[in-house]
Amino acid sequence: MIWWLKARLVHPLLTGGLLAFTLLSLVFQDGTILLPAVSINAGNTVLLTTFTPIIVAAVLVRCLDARLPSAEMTGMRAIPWMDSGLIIATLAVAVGAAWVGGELLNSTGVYLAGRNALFMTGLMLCARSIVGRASIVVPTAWIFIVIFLGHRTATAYYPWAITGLGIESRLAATAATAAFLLGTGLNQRLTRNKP
Amino acid sequence: MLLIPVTMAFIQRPTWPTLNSLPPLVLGMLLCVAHAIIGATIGQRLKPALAVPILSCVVFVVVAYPHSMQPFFLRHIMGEYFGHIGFGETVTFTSMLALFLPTAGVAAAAAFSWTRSPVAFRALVAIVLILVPTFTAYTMTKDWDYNPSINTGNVAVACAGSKPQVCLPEQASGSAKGIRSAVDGTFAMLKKYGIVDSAPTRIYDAMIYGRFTPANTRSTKYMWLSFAYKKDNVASSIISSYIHFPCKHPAPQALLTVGVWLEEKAGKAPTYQQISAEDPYYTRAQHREVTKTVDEISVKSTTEQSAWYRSTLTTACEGSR
Repeated sequence: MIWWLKARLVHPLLTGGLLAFTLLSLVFQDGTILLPAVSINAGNTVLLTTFTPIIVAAVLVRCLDARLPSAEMTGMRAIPWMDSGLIIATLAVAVGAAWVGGELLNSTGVYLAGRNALFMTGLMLCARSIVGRASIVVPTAWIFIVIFLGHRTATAYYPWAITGLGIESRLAATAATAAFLLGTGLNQRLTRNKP
Repeated sequence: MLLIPVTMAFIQRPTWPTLNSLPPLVLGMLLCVAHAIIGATIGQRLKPALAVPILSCVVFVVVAYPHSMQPFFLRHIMGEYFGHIGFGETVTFTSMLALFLPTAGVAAAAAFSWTRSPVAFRALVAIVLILVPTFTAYTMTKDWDYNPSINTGNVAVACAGSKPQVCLPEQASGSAKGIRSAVDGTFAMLKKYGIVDSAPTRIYDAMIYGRFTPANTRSTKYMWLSFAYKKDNVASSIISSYIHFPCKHPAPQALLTVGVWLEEKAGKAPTYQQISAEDPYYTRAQHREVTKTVDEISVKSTTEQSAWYRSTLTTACEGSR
């Protein structure tokens, strides 16, 4: 168990990443950036916490990719289950931290960071089961797709732009949970023992 | 990759690019090279899973956000050209250099970190390589407003007619005749009713000067002629620039009445819909009153009409400062 944690770089990287995600989300809160470079008329305001959830996904995929292939292939340990446990624990911490932060600071942006971390990690894990190591590109691209194409009006997003939707949106909450569950499942079934 | 849209545009509408249009393209390509060097250096030190999201998000925010920031010099040095280059405008070498220097400095620092020398030395050189170009760019741009430095008037101009001589960009030569007759007719009408003593010697299309319209003088005027011609309101734009009330805020109803009166003379009287489109508080009752006054005045003799115009100028300013 300890060796597995060490191989997965849990101590230095995952904890550091979660800390960075929490701190940055709490610092940014509801802060927005204006992007007249993107559009002057509509849709040029972007929450800074749009960007923080990618930290969770990036750090997690880096940890999952840090393997000891020969040791893991021997099959003495239930590595896929342990990996799934790691994913669930990481997201539990991330979403929990965002929820507590949002509650304490009364900030929608922080809540959104938690929900979007769930969605983007799910997206990354789904991609990981198909494209392997390049999977982080998908949630990164997703951020920019939502910024550039997701705006319906200056303040509202299209329903497909999950990460842009408000915290009260049932659709977004459902989609985030579904993406996460699907991603975790696919990751466990398909991304197995690849060096 | 930057050549793809250029090639596509060329295939769609075969126009040879002018020499002036190429520098921004080259600048874009050089910036891509600089970013590639930065990306390669960081990608060498960080695992892709971390380098990809961090670099893409951070670079995006750092380059795009300064466009809405003050002080203004930030938006001129962060590597994205501010604003569109309009008709008759070309970029200056200074503005492109200022845009390129900070990114190039970071790229140079990144490239230098590949050399085999002591870490402290590399760090020192990197700091110098970043700070010096950034400071140079700052000194170049610190006095600019939100406009980058831009050359204007880079247009072949064709002038024709006299009193006023109408100067248009050569590209507008197709509508030159229509614009000139509208201008001549309007000035003849304005002179007839004593609104102006004499037409200006020369009228330039303000489009030639891009976003910086020069100040009008007595003999030379700058107007958005070809835009006005497209919207069929050359006459009304000339008229509105020649009605001078002696106060800053004349009675709006009088202003409107004079305007409608003159535009009717020019054969382009605005309808209720046109005026109310610009003024949401304009009512039908007000419009009826304006047209009634105009109808009453228009049947009088020319001298009476110009006398009415002069008296309206003063009465409209009573009660105003």
